[in-house]
Amino acid sequence: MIAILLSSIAGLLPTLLADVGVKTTLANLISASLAAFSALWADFKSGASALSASETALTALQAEFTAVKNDTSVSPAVIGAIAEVSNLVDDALIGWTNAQVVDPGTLPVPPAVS
Amino acid sequence: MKRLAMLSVWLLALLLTGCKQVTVLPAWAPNSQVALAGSVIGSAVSVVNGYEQDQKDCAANSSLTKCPGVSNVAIHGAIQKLQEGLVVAQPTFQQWEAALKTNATAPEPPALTTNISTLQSTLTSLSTLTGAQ
Repeated sequence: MIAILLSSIAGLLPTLLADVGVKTTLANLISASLAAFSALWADFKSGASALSASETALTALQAEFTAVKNDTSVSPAVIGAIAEVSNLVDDALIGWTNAQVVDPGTLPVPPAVS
Repeated sequence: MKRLAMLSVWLLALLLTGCKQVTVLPAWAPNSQVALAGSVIGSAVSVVNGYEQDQKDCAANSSLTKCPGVSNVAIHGAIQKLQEGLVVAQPTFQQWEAALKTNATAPEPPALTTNISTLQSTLTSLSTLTGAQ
């Protein structure tokens, strides 16, 4: 259900966001992000060992992110925030997926943030 | 921009909280409740460790695209909060797992339920802290 919801939103968002002034490149990035997360979620739920759908969606996401970075009208601070948030979301999804095989009870507690 | 960042982490929150149970149980998990709590912990650990690595990368090369985000004070504070939450949640989770080996119906400790919810909300809060432009 989540996958269907995300896919539906992904198709509609660019138009919706453009209507409220979000740049096309950013809107496309959002849409690609949704598609990527939808694919990752579907793969996670199905236990697919070959995450082909995720790889396709993530490749598309990377292309959109490249477009944002090349958009000289977007400030470096905004791009930096996008990059870091994207990294953190990726990390969270990786951690979630790894929990399928590695007991989180065996993970060391991360040290205090410097 | 805030809407953009909010959307990204809203998706994360949706993934972590939208389903009340994990549909594919990991081999180590005796039930879906344990699997879900463990998965949230796994996500939070990965985020904190990932952020630490991002900091190291930016210390070595401040021109990296991600660095303005890495140096964001609000993001740093949220990650600190995640780490502090894990300091409490991880030992509690381990104790619960140990208890389940002798009693398969051992309930999730109330404190852990609160801890997991805090981790989830902290992850979600990133969306309100990043990219204010």
